[in-house]
This record gives sequence, structure tokens and C-alpha cells, in this order.
Amino acid sequence: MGNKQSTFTEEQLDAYQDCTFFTRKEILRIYKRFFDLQPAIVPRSMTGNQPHTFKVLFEDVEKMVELKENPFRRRICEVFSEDGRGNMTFDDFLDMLSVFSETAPRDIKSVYAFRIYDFDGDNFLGKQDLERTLACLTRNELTEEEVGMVCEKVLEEADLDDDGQLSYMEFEHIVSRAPDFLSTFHIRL
Amino acid sequence: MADYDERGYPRERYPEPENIQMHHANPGFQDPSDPRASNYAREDHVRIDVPDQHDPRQIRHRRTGSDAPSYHSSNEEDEDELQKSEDLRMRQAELLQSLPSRRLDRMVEDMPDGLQHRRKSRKKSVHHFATMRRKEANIIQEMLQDLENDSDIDEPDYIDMWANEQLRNNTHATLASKRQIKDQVRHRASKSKQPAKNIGCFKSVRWRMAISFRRFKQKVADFRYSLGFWKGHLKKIEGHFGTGVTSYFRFLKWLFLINIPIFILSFGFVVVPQIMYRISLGSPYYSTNFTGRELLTGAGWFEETEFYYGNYTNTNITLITGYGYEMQYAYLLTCGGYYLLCIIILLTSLSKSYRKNYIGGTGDLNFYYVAKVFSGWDYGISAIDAAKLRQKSIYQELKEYLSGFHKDEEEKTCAKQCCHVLFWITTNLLCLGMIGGAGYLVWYISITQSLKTDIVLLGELALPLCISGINLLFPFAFSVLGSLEGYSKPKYELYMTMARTSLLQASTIAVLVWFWFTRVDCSKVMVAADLTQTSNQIQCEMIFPSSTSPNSNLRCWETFMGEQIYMLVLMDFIFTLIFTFISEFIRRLMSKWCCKSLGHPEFNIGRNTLNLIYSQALCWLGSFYSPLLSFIQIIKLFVIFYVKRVSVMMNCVPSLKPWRAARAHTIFLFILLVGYFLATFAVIWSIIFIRPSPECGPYRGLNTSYESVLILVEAWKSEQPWLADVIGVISSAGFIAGLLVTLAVGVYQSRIVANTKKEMVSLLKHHINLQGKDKAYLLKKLQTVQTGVDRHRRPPTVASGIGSPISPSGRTFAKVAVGAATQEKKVAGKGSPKKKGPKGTPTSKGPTDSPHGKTPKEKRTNDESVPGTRGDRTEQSRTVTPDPKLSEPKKWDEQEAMIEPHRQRQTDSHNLSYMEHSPVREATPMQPGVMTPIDYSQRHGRPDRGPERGHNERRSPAKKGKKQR
Repeated sequence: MGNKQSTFTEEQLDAYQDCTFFTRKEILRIYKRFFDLQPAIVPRSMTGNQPHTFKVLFEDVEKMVELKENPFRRRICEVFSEDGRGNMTFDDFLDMLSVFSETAPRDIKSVYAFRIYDFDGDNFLGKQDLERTLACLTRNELTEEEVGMVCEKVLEEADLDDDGQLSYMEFEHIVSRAPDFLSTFHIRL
Repeated sequence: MADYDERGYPRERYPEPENIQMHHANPGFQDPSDPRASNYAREDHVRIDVPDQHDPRQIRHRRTGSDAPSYHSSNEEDEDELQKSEDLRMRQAELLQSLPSRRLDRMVEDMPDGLQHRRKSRKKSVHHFATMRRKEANIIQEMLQDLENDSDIDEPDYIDMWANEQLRNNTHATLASKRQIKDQVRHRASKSKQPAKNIGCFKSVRWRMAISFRRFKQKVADFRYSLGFWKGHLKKIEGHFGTGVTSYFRFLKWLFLINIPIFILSFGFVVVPQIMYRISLGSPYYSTNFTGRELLTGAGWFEETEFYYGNYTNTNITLITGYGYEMQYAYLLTCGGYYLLCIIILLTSLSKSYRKNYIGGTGDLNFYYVAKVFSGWDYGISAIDAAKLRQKSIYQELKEYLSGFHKDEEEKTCAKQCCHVLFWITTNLLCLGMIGGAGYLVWYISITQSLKTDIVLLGELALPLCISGINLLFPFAFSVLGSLEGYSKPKYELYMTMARTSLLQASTIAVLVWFWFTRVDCSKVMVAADLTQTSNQIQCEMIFPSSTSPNSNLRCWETFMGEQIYMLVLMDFIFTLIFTFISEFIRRLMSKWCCKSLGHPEFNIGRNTLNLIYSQALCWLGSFYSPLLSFIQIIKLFVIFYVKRVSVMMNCVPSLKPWRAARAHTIFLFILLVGYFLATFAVIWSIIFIRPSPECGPYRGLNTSYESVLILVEAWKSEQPWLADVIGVISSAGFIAGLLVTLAVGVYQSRIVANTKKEMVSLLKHHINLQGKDKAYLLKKLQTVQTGVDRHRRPPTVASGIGSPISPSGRTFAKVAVGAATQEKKVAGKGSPKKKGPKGTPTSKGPTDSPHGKTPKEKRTNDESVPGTRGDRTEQSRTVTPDPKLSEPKKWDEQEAMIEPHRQRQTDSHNLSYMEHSPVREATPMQPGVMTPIDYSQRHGRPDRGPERGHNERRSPAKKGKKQR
């Protein structure tokens, strides 16, 4: 399985190589990971429409080693899946790992990080988004008051225009200053 | 009015920013159950229109605006009211949406080129689609449109490249659509296969080169990927311990990789020729047998192999007649080669790391919470325990930080501070004393050979044992001292301990090397050493003969140094293993079986990494004297990797303390660089200034090793006279001075540029700040107006004359609000700036006190008195219109109405008529486009000048209105 000849055509591999931050070998490896998500149903050949039509359900994707302990796994899958429900095609899957790869630049990572933390999808990180992020980060252990304070503090630090929520620009501005962002927003393949 | 003048307006206008939630402070907005309120709110809804034709939302504005006329007839029906309040809320939301700051990202795009941070060539900003999700089709269309517009369209390769660049950096298209685009692009490219017409030869060559370079890079990446090893281990470690511990292993791997080219170079260019030479001379001959003991001491049998400097020949190796191989030059050039290679690798990775972690993430750490919340989670974690621990750690940290925030930093008394400083000085002195003591100990042991015992092996190993012992034990003391010092942040403690440890390691080795070099100096040997029977002939010796093998040691000081360094490297290795065993394995057993309070050991990233650096510096130091030392280093690192990997997975638990991996990596690289410089400094010193052993090694018979180079250059010079001239010019004082001056000018210039950019950044930051304040102000005004409108539908309860300040704050504020609202509109019409309002409190209070008696009916007549206003206003002001005639007077009118309710009937028409000619309106340009910071600064100059202008403008209409009346 995962054989170059049978799984992908040359053009496909080329295109993937151009559209992602991966090399051929990595792409094949990722296919293998994709295959392992649900070996019974994932097609062995991806030469036709399969890469963007065949979907693996969220319930299977989230069992992946890289995601299974991640508190944001649902958000990650939702953000990257085309249908927004976390069911992923191979293209989505590859896109996801590409963003999390080491070579992806800060810009791209921050765009997706923003989307992941933007739970309600309104393109702003409001108080609710922050609260949910915090809940994920601390497993709901902070009291309500503490959560409120942390949110307040976050906004104090990052909300440049005082509108009580973070726009992408503000988020990016701040995240680009967090030196550990690049190393932590990274899934090793 | 008087009250108004009394208030320190400028002070109020720019108070500290506050978070203002429209919905909270604005009952009219939140309360759909009161139809009239919503109705009025809607009528008097102050619009801040930011004309921007490019904004798709504008289209929606127009749409909602156009249904406005229907409002006249819908006042009675509840359903309509509800719908209207719904509508109002929507519009309010739109208003918020269209606030300039909500569109910061668009602002960046609209900025003139000079302001935008320049991106490379044709690459489009990734922010382009940042906050708006567009339909995929749009993206494709847009990209193809871009392609169409590009003049260089005819070049197929270029299209290909362009598309790749675009695709990869586009964050908004999914992979599927990216591939679709790519197909289309390919299609186009194949269609326009004919040779490019409108591009120059140079361009096409450039692209072709760029393309082939890109392909080459892809190949290299592919190759590198297949070279990648230990990936699984790293992943597993990261899954269990997060990025912190992984950074140690990555550093180890990096060092391992660095040593491979060193080894290959020295093996290929020095060792192999020497072996071939020896074979060509006859069978290799060893006087001593390999006993195994040599592995520890590095002496004996090893001394006769290519392991050490002493065995290399100084002759010209001619295996094939006619092609000689000068060992002297080969040795020196190889050595220079790998030192050069190392420095290049080091500097590039250091600069990369620095750029990424320090410049990319600019220095100030005022973003504690943001960093914790948004980059606190380590996405690499895949083990359940690690995940739980991580969550716990984040929880604890946040909690600690919050509690610290509560305490409000207790003031330290002077005495306390003095105590602290004194203690700090004492500990530092103590540390320096310890380091000095360690240095002296090393010196003393070397000079007296006091540890020589009858046990032969121990005697030889005494010094390395001692040094490794010092390096093992002292850092413990340092960390204890560091924890006693009570730094405000744990990272200071860490950095302090690290600095002390590396200083200790550097100083012990420096003392040792200094000792060797001074003993080696030939002239000094003759004077100082009793053991050498000096004559006039030059003889270089170490003055301390080893009791076991006097001759071999005395013969060749370079070999002796190589041996010593080998022993140091080896001892360090053994100590690392033992240390790992004791501090991790034994401790785990202890914590498991006997003393549970000890707890599981945590992996000490700092100390372990420093050990690696120390060992690498030793390797660099010894490479000249023992070319195969890098091989030993490779083996050592390899073994350490596996030992540590097993140990860390078996024994250690992840730390609750955060480890700032990115920053720390840069610091480690820096320390490594320092180590490198120290090591190469010592080696270069010995090459240039110290006489090589006269009886061994490639440089026997020369005054210094460097002399061989001089001889070579002289030979070249005599062969080719022009070379002599060139060398003469290069080595002349003038040339060197010129070079220095050029370099200095370059440094100065880049410094100036850097400073200017810094200033620019701070200026822009200031602008952002101002805009934030402006916006808060604006929002506050908006609320005031809205609440005012809500209130004045009530019948008048308190009679208050115009300008009579019964409740000063409230009344004044209403006026201020009106004035400011105009101001806002102007500003908003112009662009983005938002004004920060006076200290919130009066905002909501003011209108409560002011008796607004205007009834809905009056209001409506008022509206009807200006035919067409209602309908057109929304329409026109939402769209870009330079003529605010229809909207501006209306607003004024309404606002006047709420201030002077009892006169409303009489003054309405007057107000309107004066407003038609009001200077305010004329001074209200509704220009399209978003205001950039530069526009803003030009317009407003200093922030404190703004209000005065606003003041005048605000006053003038009122005065005029009175006069007319």
C-alpha cells in the first residue's frame, strides 16, 4: 500500500508537492496515515476523484495518535474539513498536516490558529471563544471568575482597538510575538 | 456652554482606553420589546459611514438602506416594530462591522506601498483573504484574473512558478480547489506554449534559473527527508514530553550531524592519504600492543596510529609519480576547512534561530496571557499523561499569575532591597570564587602532579577525572544558589545558572590549555624546566613526564595534548552516563521504593544541553591534535542519544515548569558559538605562535605551523610575480584599513536603517493606539446619542432651560455628545480614526437628567418637514457621497432636539435652515477610502491638538443657531 505507482499519479504527486509543504515521500507517508485511519474503507487508489470525495468520518480522524489527546481536535477537524463537520477527505487531511508541518511559515500557521480558536466562526475571537479556548486548555478547572479575569487580561494585552474582541490582525500581531508559537503549533510527522 | 468650557476637554478626550460593549450600555439597542424606543433609536441612529467601495459589505448596507422609506407607514403595527428593532440591531451590527478598526486588515491592504511591509516580488499577502471567507470560485477567479493582468503571462514556466507560489501561500483555498487552479493554470500554460514575445532574454533566463533552483530545492528536501533519522524517537519524545525535552534531542541530533562532515573531511583528506602513505612504505609497524587500557587513556598503542597529530608525515606523498600530496598543506587546509564549515553552519543556524525567535517575536514579553492561551498548547503532545499534565501545568501557571496579579506587587522596602542586592552580590562573588577555585585546582593538579599515585591508570586519569567531577558537581551548587537568590522569574534563575555553568566549564578548560601552552613553549622549557637537559638545540617538551612512558610523552607535545583531550572527552562521556544512571534511574527507583517524597526525576534540559556544548567544544579544541576525535564524538553522541532516550522515557516525568524551547535554543546556539570561538582561538594561537614539536608531526622542523603557509606563499610569489603584487596589495596597511572602513560604514549604515525602522514601528504602534482610543470614544458617543434618544420619548418631567446646568455633568455631556457626534461623523467620513470619549460615567447618566420631551409625533413631523430626507439619508450616507447635505443637517436637527426639547417645535425648522449653511457641514468631507495612519497623523498632528479644533467647530453651529433664533 502507499505505493507510488498504484496510489497516486505523477501529476497528482507533483500538484501535492506544489500545494503543500511536503515532499513526495512525506505525501506518501501521509497517505499511509490516512489509510490507517480506517483501513477497511479507505481506497487504495487515489488516482481519480477519491482525494476530494472520499471522506473519513470525524470519529475516526480524531482517534489518530496526533490528535487524540489534543483538546482542540474537533475544532482542527472542523476548520480543515470542507464540510465543516470534521469529516475529512485526503486533501483536507494533507492540508491539515501541511499547515502543522515544520516548514509552514508563521503567516499560514497563524491564520489557521485563528480559525481554530474562533469557535463560533464569526472571524473574531470574542469572549466566548476565549472562554472555550481556556476550557480546552485547562480542562474546565479554572473557576468562572478566573476565566473571566484571564479573558480580560488577554483582551487587555491584545485588543488594540478596544472593541472587546480580537480581529485576525490583532491576533496575528500578538501571536507573531510569541516565540514559542511556531514550535508548539507543530505536529511532527 | 460655560460648563462645557470649564471642562478640561483635552484631558477628557484621551483617557485610558476601556472596553465598551455596545450591547451592554445601550438599552435601546438591546430592548426589542419597546417598539417606540427602537423606532427612535432607528431614526436617530447615528451612522458612522466609512465609505469604501471595495467592501462587499457595503452592498449589504445599500440594500438595508433602501428599505428605509417603508418605515413611515409602519409605526403602528407591533410586528413591524419587532421587525424594525430586529432591523435596527442588524444595522447596529453592521455599523460595528464597518468601524474602521474592524477592518484593520483591509487597512493594511489599502495602505500605500511604502507603508506596507514589503513582501517578496509577486507574492501576494496571505492576509488578502484573511478575515473574509470568500467563495472558492471567487478565489480561483481572482487568481486567474491576476494571472491575466500580469504582463509576463506568455512564459509558461513563469505561470507555473507563479501559480505554485500563490497556491502554497494561499490559506483560503482548500487543497482541492488549489489543485483545480493548478490544472487550469497548466492548461493555460500549455496553450501558450509558443515562445514568449514580450519578455526579455534576461528575464526568461532568470525565471528558468529560479525554476530549476526550486526543483533542486525540492530534490534536496526530498533527499533530506530520506536522510532524516531518529524521527520516530523524536516524535515519541515530543508526544510524551512536549517541545522542551525534544529540543535537547534535536540539539543533540544537530551536533551529531555537524560532526559528520568534520569527520568525513579529516578522514578523507588527512587520514586516508596518511594510511596509504604508510602502506606504501611497508607494513604498518606498532611497537606496542593493544591492551585495552589505551581506550581509557588514549596513550600507548593509539599514539602510533593516525589518531594523533604526531604520526603524520611532513613529506610529499607521491603514490603516483608526478602527483604529490603535500601533507603539511593538506593537514592545515583540512583543519581550516572544517572550522570554516562549522562556523558557517553555526552562524546560519544562529541567525535563523535569532530571526525566528527574537526578531520575529519582538523582545517584550508583555503578552503573557496571550502567549499562554494561544501558544500554550503543544500540538505535538500525543500521550494522555502528557496532555493531562500540560493542562494541569497551564492551569497552575494561569492561577499563579492571577494570584500574583491580585497581590499588586508588594512594595519592597529599601532595607529589603539592600539585603537582596547584598545577597545577590555575595552569591555572585561566591560563584566567581568557586569558578576561580576550580581553575586554580586544575592548575595546581597539573603543575604538581599531586594526584599521581601508584595506581598507574588512576594517576593518568587524575586530571580528567577531576575536571569532569568539577563539571558534574559545581552546577548543582550553582542551581542551589540560584534558587536561594529568589529571582522574580524562573527564567532568570535558569539563565544565571546556565551562565555560571558555562563560565565554569570554559574556565577550567582555558586554564588547562593555558597551562599546556606555557609548558610547551620551547624557550620557557629551557629556563623553567629542571627535567629537561637543555642545550642550545631546540627541543620542545612538556615538563611533566609521565612516569610510565617518558619518551613518548616528551617527544611530541601535540600528541600529548591530543591524548589529554581524548581523555577529557571520554571522561565526560562516562560521567554523563553515570550521571544519567544515578540521577534518573536510581532516583526513580528511590522515589518508587523508599522515599516517595523525592518524586520522579525531571529531565534537566539546561544542564544536559550545556554538557553537550562542553563536549562539542572539547572536540573542536582537540580536532587539530587528533583528527579522528570527531569520530569519537560521533560515537559518543550516538550512544548518548539512545541512553538518554531510553532513560527519559523510562525514568522521567514531564516537567510542570514551562520550558521556553525556542528562546533557549537560540541561547544554546550562542553559547556553542562562544565555545567554538574559544576552541578555535586556542588552536589558531597554537598554529601561529607555538613551535611545533621538532621530531613529529607534519610541521617538524618549522618554527611554527603557520610558517608552512608562508613558505607556500613565498613560493607562489617567486613563481608568479603578479601574485606577489596582489598579495602585496592585499596585505598592505592601506587595503586593510580600507576594508575596515568599508565594513564599519556598512555596519553603521545598517544600524541607522535598523534604528529608523524601529522608530517607524513605534510610530505606527502609537497610531494604532490612538485609533483604538478614537474608536472607544466614538462608540461611547454613539451610546450617548442612542440612550439620549431612548430617553427623550418620555414626557418632560423636569423643566430645565437651555444652557442652565441643573445637572452639570449630564447636560454638558449631551452637548458634548452632539458635538462629538458631528466630529465623529466627519472623522468617520474621512476614514478610520475613532475618538476616545470622556470617562465613561456621564455617558449613560447624562441623558437621564436632561428632560427630553420630544414625542414621536413631533419627531415625525420633523422628519416630514424635510421631504425625502428620511429615505435618502440612509441611502446616501451609506454609499459614498461627497455631499452630506441630506444626512448631516438631519442629524444635527435631531440632536439639537434632544438637548432643547421644549423649544423643539419652534427651532426645528430654524435649525435645519442654519444647518444648510453650517460650516460644520462644509467642513465634513465624506471622502472615500480608509484613513491610513499617515493620513491620520497629517490630519491630526499631535493628539492633543485635535480637541481644540473640535471644540471650535462644535461651538460655531450652536452660536450661529442662537443668532438665527
